[in-house]
This record gives sequence, structure tokens and C-alpha cells, in this order.
Amino acid sequence: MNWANQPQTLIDDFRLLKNFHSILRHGGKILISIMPFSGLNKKTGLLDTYKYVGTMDWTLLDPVFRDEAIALRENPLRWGKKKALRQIVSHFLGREKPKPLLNGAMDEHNPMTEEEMAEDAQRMMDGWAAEFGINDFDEPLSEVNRQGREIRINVLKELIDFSTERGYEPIVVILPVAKQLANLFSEAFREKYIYSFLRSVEPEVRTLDYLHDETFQDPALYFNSFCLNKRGREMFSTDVCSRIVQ
Amino acid sequence: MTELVTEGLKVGFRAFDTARDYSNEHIVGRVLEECLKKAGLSRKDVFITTKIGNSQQEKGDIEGEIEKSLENLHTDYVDLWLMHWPYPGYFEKTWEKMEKVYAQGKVRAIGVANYNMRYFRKLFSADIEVVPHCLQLEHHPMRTADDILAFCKEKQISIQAYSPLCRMIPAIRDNIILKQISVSKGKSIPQVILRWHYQHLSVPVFKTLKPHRLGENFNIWDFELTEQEMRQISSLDADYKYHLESVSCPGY
Ligand SMILES: NC(=O)c1ccc[n+]([C@@H]2O[C@H](COP(=O)([O-])OP(=O)(O)OC[C@H]3O[C@@H](n4cnc5c(N)ncnc54)[C@H](OP(=O)(O)O)[C@@H]3O)[C@@H](O)[C@H]2O)c1
Repeated sequence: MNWANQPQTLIDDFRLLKNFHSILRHGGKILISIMPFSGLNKKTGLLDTYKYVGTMDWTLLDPVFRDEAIALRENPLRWGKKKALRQIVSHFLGREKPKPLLNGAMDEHNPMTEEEMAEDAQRMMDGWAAEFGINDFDEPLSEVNRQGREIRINVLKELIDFSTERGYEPIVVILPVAKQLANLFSEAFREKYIYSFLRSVEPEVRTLDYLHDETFQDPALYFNSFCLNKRGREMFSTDVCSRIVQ
Repeated sequence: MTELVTEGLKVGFRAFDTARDYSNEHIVGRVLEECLKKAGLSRKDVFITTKIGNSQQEKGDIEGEIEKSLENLHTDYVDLWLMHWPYPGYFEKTWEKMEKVYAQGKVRAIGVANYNMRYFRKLFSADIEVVPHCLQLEHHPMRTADDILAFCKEKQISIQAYSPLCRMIPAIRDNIILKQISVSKGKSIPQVILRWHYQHLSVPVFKTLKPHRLGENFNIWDFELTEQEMRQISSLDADYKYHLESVSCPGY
């Protein structure tokens, strides 16, 4: 999400927690970041698993993709020999064009104009609609997404129980988005995709809702309509830190 | 290893700690056999601890695993056999099977490692027959684990401290309290810490790769820490763990 290095599912959040929670002391706070589609049926694939190889304990990797992901990490040429050879040749010919890794994430300002932000917000919505198989955001959840939600309600419940059992405080943080995107989230949309999902999860936990917080809708804090830039992340993290110790 | 073990035996060390998951049980077995012979000592003169790891817990053949460890270690018994981790989903069953192995006499004592109160509560509610004889845990001045130690005292579970020197990280090496005590006693910081362990009945399982440090770490019998010094050292507690449990044991 906005905080992670790349978007990741609630299931992967939980896997990472299982692997690294011991770094916290007793009473530590577990921040569970939620965005509108956290409760839906996101399909994960080889790439999602691949990004955790070498970081996450192998026993926690998605068993469906684990072996292939590990094999790819050990032998990256398997991604495609031709492409790799072409890149090696361009490297030695000095024609390599390195891709910017962070793509605006480290910027102090927003590189997009207001108009570009609005277009980007619409692109995000269209992308999610395609990703989650949604024709109309006002329609009831499809059967697949309803089932996906049931699974995620259980995952979130387990994640909360896991945290409290170990003496930590789980806190749900509903992430902010730039105003152009926030404007496309109607109240009915927010209710259907976020609040009703969270209400289904017991026990209820402390929730910090930034979706309505206008301070964090300021486009200057973003590098696209969805992701905070460096300045935004610093401001947001400071705010969250000051609120969780209250 | 041969050089270290030879020197260790000469200095007076008699306890050795290994584990299946260290992938060196077979080397420990070979080297110990060789060094004991050279030193004119026998198997019964030393105390060997080994541990059963998570992947072996998952396979479930706990009795078969002790046979492999005994073969690796060139011995027909181990002095202490520990469950390396309370591996979620497996540890209660593993303990039940370890109890059976204990009853057969292949291990002189059974215990657990890396248990905190949550796991002790779970284990004790699983209707166990043998109370663990020993707990091995990360324990040093920056992690005094008072609740766990109090519980073990009540249940008469003896304590082995792993990473007893907290790996001599800078927070230990440069600590002003430890430095002051070390100067006033004319002892090094590791010696002060190892004495602190000895005085509150925790058996330190330290590591060094330098033979000359074995003599230093053994030489802790000619001084005593006062109660106040013991308290001062314990006041460094920050619930700091060098080894993060959930990294070694996902889902811990
Ligand atoms: N049950 C478990 O899960 C578990 C987990 C971790 C460890 N263990 C056991 O505990 C043992 C020790 O743990 P550990 O290695 O993590 O921690 P440790 O014994 O606290 O620290 C070892 C470090 O201290 C240094 N050292 C030792 N004596 C010294 C001295 N007199 N002066 C200065 N530095 C000194 C060593 O360096 P040099 O080598 O340079 O002397 C080494 O780097 C392991 O070997 C293992 O058997 C068990």
C-alpha cells in the first residue's frame, strides 16, 4: 500500500508479521493498513511470491508458487534467456537504460498536474474494476468477491488475534488518498468496500481513519493519486506515530 | 574445532551445545571423540546437549531423530535433549514423543528452548507427564526475562542461557555500569557477565572461536558480585533479543 514498498495483500501482511513480529517489545503496536480493496478477492501470482523469496522464511511463501519462485530467484535467466542476453549485450555496449526503481516515490513534490491527477485517479478506479472483476461500483459484491471477503474477514480476525495473544496492540489504519481519488469514493462506496468489511471483523480494534482527513488529501503530498511521496509519507508517519501513543 | 575443543577440555570445560539444525552434529561427534581420547577423558566426563529442529518436528518421527543424533554424535545417550522451538502446531505432540524417548533412557534429560510464558502455559495445559528439566533461552543483562525465570524456579526447571554475552554488542561492550564493575573487580566484562549468570544459577552457553578466550571465560571463580552489583547488571534489561524468535520460528 502507501506504506509498503509495493502493494501487498492482507495475507502477505500476515505472513510478514508471522515472520518478523519478534522485533517488537511487549505492548508493541501492529499497524494494519487498509485500503478500499483490502477486503476483496485479489489473486496473487508468481510475481507476488517471487518478491518475498530471500526475505520471508520459505515455509511462509505461497505454496502454489513457492518452488517456481525460488527456482527463478536462484536462476534469474529463467525469466527469459533472450531478454537477459539482449540486456547483457546492451550493458556491454553502454546502451542500457536503467529503469528508475522508485518512480517518484522519493520525490518531495508531486510531478503531476491537477488534470493528470484526475486522469490518474480514474485510471486507478478502472484498473481496480478490471482487477477485481467489478462492472459497477454501486452494484452488490459479486459471488467471487463475496467469498474473497469472507476469507479476508477471517484473515484479519486471525491477524488481530495473533497480535493480541502476543501482547501487541493491533490498530487498523485506513490510508489516505489524494483528493482526486477520494472524490471518486462515494459514501456508499466507502461503506460497501471498507466500513462494512471492518465491521464484520471481531474483535473490534482501534481504527485510525484517514480517508476523510482533508490534510492528507492534499495532492502536493502524493506522486500519483494513490501513493504518498516522500514528504507525504514523512508527514503521515509522524501523524500516525503521535496518535498511536495516545 | 579440534583446536578449540582440545583447549577447552584442558581449561576445564565439560559441556558442549549443538543442534541438528546447526548441521554440525556429526562434526561435533567426531571431534569430541578424538579430543576426549587425546585428553584421556571419556564420554561420561562431558555433558552433551543437542536439539530437535522444526523440520524434524514437522516430519514427526521424533524417536527416529534421536537415533540419528546419537549416530551423529558417536554416543549412545545425550545428556540433554531440547526441543529447539515451540513450533506452532507441532510442539505439544513433539513433547509427548520426547517424553517416550526419555523413558527409554536414550536421553538423560529433556527440555525446551525459546519458550516464553505463552508457550509454557500451552505446554502445561496439554497434560504433560514430564516437566521440562531445562529451558535454554536468550538470557543476558539486556534480557533478564524475569517472568520466565521466576516461573522456571517455581517449577524447578533449570536455566541454560544462550547468547549469554549478548554477543558482546557495543551496548554491552561500552556499557558504563559493566565497565565500572569490571574495573573495580579487575575482571573483563565477559567475566563479570558470566559470573552474574553463575550467581543467579543460569548456566551460560557461550561461544568463542578464539582459544585464548576460553581460559578468560572460565576464570570466574575467584571473585564475587555483591547483591547491589547483581541488581545493577540486571537493571540493563531492555527486553532486547539479539536473535528474533519469529525469524527462526515463523509464527512463533
Ligand atoms: N537454542 C537456541 O535457539 C540458540 C540460539 C542461539 C545460540 N545458541 C547457543 O548459544 C551459543 C552462544 O550464543 P551466541 O554465539 O549467539 O552468543 P554469545 O556467546 O553471547 O556471543 C558470542 C560472541 O562473543 C564473543 N566473545 C566470547 N567471549 C569473549 C570474550 N572473552 N571477549 C570478547 N568477546 C568474546 C565471541 O567472539 P570470538 O569468537 O571472537 O571470541 C562471539 O562473537 C551458540 O554457540 C549456540 O550453541 C542457542
